Amino acid sequence: MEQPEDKKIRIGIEHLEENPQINLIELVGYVDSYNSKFFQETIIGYINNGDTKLIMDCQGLNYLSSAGIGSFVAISEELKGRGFIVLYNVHPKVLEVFSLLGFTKFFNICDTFEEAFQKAQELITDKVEPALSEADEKVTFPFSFECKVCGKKLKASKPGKYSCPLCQCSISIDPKGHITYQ
Amino acid sequence: MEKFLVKREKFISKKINLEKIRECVGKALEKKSVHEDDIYRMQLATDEACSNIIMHNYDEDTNRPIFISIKDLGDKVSILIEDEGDKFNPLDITDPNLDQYIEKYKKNGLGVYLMRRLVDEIRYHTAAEQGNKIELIKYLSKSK
Repeated sequence: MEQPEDKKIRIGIEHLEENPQINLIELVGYVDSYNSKFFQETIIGYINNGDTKLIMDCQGLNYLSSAGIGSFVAISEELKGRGFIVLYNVHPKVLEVFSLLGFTKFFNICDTFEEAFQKAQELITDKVEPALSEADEKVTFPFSFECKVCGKKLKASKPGKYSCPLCQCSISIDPKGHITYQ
Repeated sequence: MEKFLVKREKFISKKINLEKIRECVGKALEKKSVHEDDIYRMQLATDEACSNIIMHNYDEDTNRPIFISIKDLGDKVSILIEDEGDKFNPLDITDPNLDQYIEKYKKNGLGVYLMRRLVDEIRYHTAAEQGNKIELIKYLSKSK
């Protein structure tokens, strides 16, 4: 098995000044079947170190084959339930590969950094937390839960919009018991 | 009128050589003044074909030959890719269910599907006694 010595892709990572929870990853080079494993393992290494909210600047990514797409799928799988990845500045030829496979709907792809940052902020604040596991059949009201923002124990008499009396965050509860924080 | 832009250039079956193969395709098609989008598509389709050869036909053996020939056929260009590995006809592969692909987080097996989307014709030369010959054809007047 070949071990990539010259990785052919440079990967930089830094915390965003605007929101240090978010990491900005910069790519320069290409991802094909030669270095896709290296690329995937590097990003998954960041995720396993706790960097799970990722914005990726793809301006320097000049080529992507199906092996590279496979790496992006693996990264998304790793982030499932833990965080997200938002791509921006994607070269039109690279974007075409995502489009031909119908994967543009699967990934968060933005044009500019500003759009990507806004999308990331939305993904952080609009996180939908299922209050119950899918195995639970029915939700009964009044319904007790803990505010995810401040930890205060709360009770909702019916589905609807509420405001946490302690931290003032907005909470929506749907009839199935799904809670959305804003 | 047929004209060779590249005649049976040999590459060794190392994945790092995929970059050289893409460069070979790029330089040849630039000579023919092919649109840069189509050059990229042919580079990608050739890369996918050669990646399959290295990983499957040669089972990651890094010292086997891959031969690339590129022909100017007037209104189209053809890239013939030859190997000496196990028999494998990519046209036998059925298209994946892409929605299921996404739902199940599958990572492999998209190469042949992508090749089909990138070029106008794929021919598998069944007459080859040993190894495989696969030909990728792109019509230059057609925008795909």
